[in-house]
Amino acid sequence: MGLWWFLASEIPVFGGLIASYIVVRLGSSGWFEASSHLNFSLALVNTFVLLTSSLTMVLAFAAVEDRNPKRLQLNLLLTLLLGLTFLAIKGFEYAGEIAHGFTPGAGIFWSFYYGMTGLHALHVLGGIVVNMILLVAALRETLKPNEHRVELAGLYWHFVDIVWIFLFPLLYLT
Amino acid sequence: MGEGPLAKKMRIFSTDHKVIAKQYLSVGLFWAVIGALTAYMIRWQLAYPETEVPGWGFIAPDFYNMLVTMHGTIMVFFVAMPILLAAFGNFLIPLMIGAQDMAFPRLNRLSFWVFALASFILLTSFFVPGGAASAGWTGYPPLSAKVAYTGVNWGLNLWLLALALEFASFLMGGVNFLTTAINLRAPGMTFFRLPLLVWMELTAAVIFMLSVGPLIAGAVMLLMDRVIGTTFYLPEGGGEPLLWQHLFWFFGHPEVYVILLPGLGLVLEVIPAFSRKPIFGYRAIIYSTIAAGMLSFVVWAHHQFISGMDPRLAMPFSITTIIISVPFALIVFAMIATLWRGSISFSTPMLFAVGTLAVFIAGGLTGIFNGSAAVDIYIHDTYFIVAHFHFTLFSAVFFAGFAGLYFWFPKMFGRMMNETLGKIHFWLTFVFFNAVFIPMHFVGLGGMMRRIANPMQYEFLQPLQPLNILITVAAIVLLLSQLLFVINFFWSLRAGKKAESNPWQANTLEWSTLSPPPHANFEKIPTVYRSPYEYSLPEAPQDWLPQDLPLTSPAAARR
Amino acid sequence: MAEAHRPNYFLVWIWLVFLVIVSITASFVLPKSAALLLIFLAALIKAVLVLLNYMHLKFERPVLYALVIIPLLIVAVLIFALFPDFVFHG
Repeated sequence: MGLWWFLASEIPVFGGLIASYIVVRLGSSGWFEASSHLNFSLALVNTFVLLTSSLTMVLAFAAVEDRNPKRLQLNLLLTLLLGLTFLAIKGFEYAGEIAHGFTPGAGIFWSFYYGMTGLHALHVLGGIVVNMILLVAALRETLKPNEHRVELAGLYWHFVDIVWIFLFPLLYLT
Repeated sequence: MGEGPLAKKMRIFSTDHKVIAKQYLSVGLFWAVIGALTAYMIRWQLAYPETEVPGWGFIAPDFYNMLVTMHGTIMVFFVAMPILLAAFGNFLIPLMIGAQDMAFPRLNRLSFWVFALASFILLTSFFVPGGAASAGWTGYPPLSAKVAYTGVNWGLNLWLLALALEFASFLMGGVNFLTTAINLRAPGMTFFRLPLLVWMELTAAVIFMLSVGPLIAGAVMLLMDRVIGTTFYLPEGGGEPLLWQHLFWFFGHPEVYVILLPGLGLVLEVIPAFSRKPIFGYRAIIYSTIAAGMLSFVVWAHHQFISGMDPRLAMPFSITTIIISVPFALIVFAMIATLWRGSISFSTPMLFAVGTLAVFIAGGLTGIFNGSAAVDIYIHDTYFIVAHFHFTLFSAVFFAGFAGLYFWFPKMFGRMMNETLGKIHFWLTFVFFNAVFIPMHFVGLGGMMRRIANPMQYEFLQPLQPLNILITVAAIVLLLSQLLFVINFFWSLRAGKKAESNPWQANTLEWSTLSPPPHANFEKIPTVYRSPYEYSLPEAPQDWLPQDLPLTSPAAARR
Repeated sequence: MAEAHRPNYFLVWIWLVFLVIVSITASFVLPKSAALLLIFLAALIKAVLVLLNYMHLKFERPVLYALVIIPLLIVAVLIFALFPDFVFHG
């Protein structure tokens, strides 16, 4: 219940950013031009990466329910790797954009792009750290008394995925 | 649930909610002193511009801006929130619901550490080159977005960081409050038997958690504008300064109710205890509180009537603002009805509680003027507004806060405070508070603008200067009177009369355990039989009836 | 225990992938406004799928739905209130 409250309070954080993005964008012109410079294919790959990581995360939770430590470790590891992949691709994207001169100061679209994806990426990083701690505990077999933490970490991870589900079309598809 | 080994060595590692509450209280009181000092310097500069402030020296206009900014920031975020929400909430919620501690004690400890870090960062912001933030507690861009406009670089960045950390700390606290109250109530403690203070703290927590998001987003955006060079709020990059205003006030307005509701809650506990009467309209108060909470999310643009926002927004926001006065009026009437024909004893907590009521009503009335866009066009950004919010905030934070402190001091510290000193403190505070802020309305109506360092440079303001001097003199006396509280507080800690469990003969659960309560709060978890306000019940042998006393027990018959 | 109630996580994943493909196709194939509508509808469905199935919301107590819906309503209020200032420049 506590974690749901936390997520409920995170919704207006991203919501605030997204709301601002939507209204500013609807009110100005020339954004399609800017967004066309984004690397669509990389972001698409990232979308699949994150979606799949949600799958592995919930499978990890299922493994806890089924009392299957090996599957738990495997799925936590996969989630972790997919999360890292997401960040790596994002970093690669950023590097490419900055090399082309599209820094955060390049215009209002870029401010929002870096702001929204940056905040999202920070949350992904946080989730990765949490999952790493859980994985280590699972490998050391010390997770037993705190198994519900996998569910909590899962809730957070799915939330981060949902944010991306909205960010992707907002930034890349429109 | 025992304390860890570290906690036995150092209080800073304790997870006991009562210890954490006192830690919040200490930090809050510390900041109150700093906030008071900024108020002193501001008032001196206004009354005697360009002279040396006794004890400090000359104040440059930039420094004045910083004082005004920090006064607001400190009082709202580092005095009101920690004392009303964190200290009283943390201390009383588990006790009042009959629990041993919060649902997440370690999260509680972490939340204090984060808050302490935020405090430390804000403190350091005074000492960095360029000084502390000086763009107003509301931090409007473009002034706040570009270093060159204020000359403050790290000060403002640290300000944003301190606020972000403080928000994180209170989000953690909010999660704790809500989960605790929902899951850890003692047997028999239904939602409608909860003391009103708990309802108020919970509503405040919900409001805070749902409203702070957009400001966190906005603050991140502002920080990015300052540090990375984005242009969210800078028109030359396609940004929009008004966006900040909307994001800030979307949180800012619910935030004042986050502060107000616990204050009202404290008063709602004190009044029945000293009128020996049940609360009038318990459920109505709860429903009004929830209604006010919901309404608070749709009134924010009344802070922006003259900001240049779309004028068509003025009407809907005026309407909602006027409507929100209705639930609060109801709560105020309920308080008065509770007092009516009660057998009232004017102890120090009761004096402050009734004082809160009087001052809050006055503040609420001026709020209705402000809420009408047509009137606000004239008085916005004048001292009329300053007077309005000091009436409402001061009543909620200081009058109610003192009521709470005097009332629960015996429970928190096991000793009684000195009644005589308390009463003198009240009267001095009440008289001089009014002496400061009533004239301020007239100064504002006369056209004196906010945030100007030297009113004398405007010819049309010069006739108002005697009022400004009066206000300053009264303010200095007001501030000095608070020393009585400080003396009383510290003296009583050492040498006050030892307190019994229930010195005020009140009903709520915290009074059924020792003063101060042991680590696990209760010897065994109480069972609750009735609502908290059963005073002067004809069937009962005395004029109070604790929540956890079964009516048929021999103890009840004997006592 | 929860065996009988467990959603088919793989099936959900297939749906999610399918919806992503639908969105992308729409953005290339359909005219602007129809595409926008479809894309956001797809995003909404994806979010709901994750919420209900991966986050098990449909097996939790009803009050949690309120915890999700109310903040979203608040964000909606913010968006609509900002419209006059940003979208309908006076």
